Amino acid sequence: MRETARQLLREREVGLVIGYAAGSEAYWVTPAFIKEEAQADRLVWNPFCVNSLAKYLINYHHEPYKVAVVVKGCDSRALVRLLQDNQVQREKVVVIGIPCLGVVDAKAAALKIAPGTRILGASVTDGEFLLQTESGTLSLPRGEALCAKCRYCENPTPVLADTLLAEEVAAEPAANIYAEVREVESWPREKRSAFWDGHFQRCLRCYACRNICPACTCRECVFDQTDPCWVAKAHNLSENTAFHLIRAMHVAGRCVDCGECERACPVNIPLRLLNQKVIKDIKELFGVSTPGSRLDEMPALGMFATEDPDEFN
Amino acid sequence: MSLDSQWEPKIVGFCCNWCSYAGADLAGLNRLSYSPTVRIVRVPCSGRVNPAFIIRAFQRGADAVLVSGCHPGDCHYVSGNYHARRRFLVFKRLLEYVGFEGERLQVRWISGSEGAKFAQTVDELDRKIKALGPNKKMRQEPPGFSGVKDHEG
Ligand code: SF4
Ligand code: SF4
Ligand code: SF4
Ligand code: FES
Repeated sequence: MRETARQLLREREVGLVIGYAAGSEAYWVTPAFIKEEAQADRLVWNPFCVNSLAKYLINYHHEPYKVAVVVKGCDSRALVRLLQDNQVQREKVVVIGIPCLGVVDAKAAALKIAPGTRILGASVTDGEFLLQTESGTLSLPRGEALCAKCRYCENPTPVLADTLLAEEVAAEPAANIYAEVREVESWPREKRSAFWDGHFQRCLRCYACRNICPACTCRECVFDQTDPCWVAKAHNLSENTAFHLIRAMHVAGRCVDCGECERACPVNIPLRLLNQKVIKDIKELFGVSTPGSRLDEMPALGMFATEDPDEFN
Repeated sequence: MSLDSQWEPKIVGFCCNWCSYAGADLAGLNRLSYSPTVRIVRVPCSGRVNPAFIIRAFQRGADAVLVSGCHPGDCHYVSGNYHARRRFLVFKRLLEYVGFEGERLQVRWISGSEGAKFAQTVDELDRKIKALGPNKKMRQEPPGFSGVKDHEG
């Protein structure tokens, strides 16, 4: 990755490389904005590179130079979202793709080690996840350490890339992706209602989930508008529910299931469980693929087919 | 303060100008009687109906919402109802997922000549909602709320 970045900068192919750099602790990686060849040594790639860098591209939309960005499989779907929405121009981006074995849910992994033990590093293989700590190396089954989104990853290899930094990784069979959604669907209505009320009630309306979302690039977001005011600033269950339903519908057919909203949420609202419900229904109803997995397949709610299912007669 | 015994459903009907509003008009012209619990909002097309309209209706006390447009193929703007069909197939499932009773959102295709279908649709919905009782999900307390809950069942 460092070599690719150096070369792109040296040959003035790009003016900026967006990648990951080490943070203050091993399990924190931070976005890095590298403009000079000599800085490329700061770049890292490890299983803590959970966050998506794609959305930063829109900040460089008006710059004269090209920007290179490091993307995992899921992040590449976010990039497709930005391209389809004309937020980013393809000819101004160099995509450095990383075929990915999965990234780590640092909070879940931390629960497996003695409190206060420092994490020094990590690596992932096909079968297990190795956590290096002060008191030795710990092996965890993949299922216990991976981020939820990685467990049923549909695109471990980026769907779009100019260079791939490793061998392609094959996708696992996708049968179980929506198991959690199906479980919630199977609950009695009162239980579903109480479950979501409980979560929506806690929402701080900080809008971190919107800010991080690659499908949320509106110049003026409906939640910032005061006239017309579709969702009042008041913090109560009714307005919070309105916020969540409107957000879910705004990203319906465009949400690429990158999981960034859920990661950004400071109070752990299960936003993926909401988004995935819509993704699952859209796929079942209209026969489309997960949004963002194909550049030539435009968002499902922006089009129609005369033979779509109809239950409104 | 109203008591539950006096409760009557409030149904908000978003009717497209070119078919369903005309259908409702025809029901009136033909002196068909239908439930007075529906309040009709005329919209240019079923494709104009934003889920936010429906959410707002529920927040402000609607017990059910009816969205009604031209039959597929007949939309005055050619494809508004096809887009609406996709949108409401998804939105209705989402409402049920978060715990709404699905019956509270109805979408129907009703043409300008189907006055009887309009009357029948409204009556049926009125019956269903009377059986379900008032909607509480997402309901806002009315302005000047006194502290006594209106519709605590
Ligand atoms: S709604 Fe969440 S999962 Fe979907 S694209 Fe936005 S950030 Fe990603
Ligand atoms: S929540 Fe809706 S209005 Fe706001 S940025 Fe996202 S899509 Fe745009
Ligand atoms: S990030 Fe979480 S708390 Fe903040 S608005 Fe979104 S759901 Fe609510
Ligand atoms: S004009 Fe009636 S549905 Fe479009």
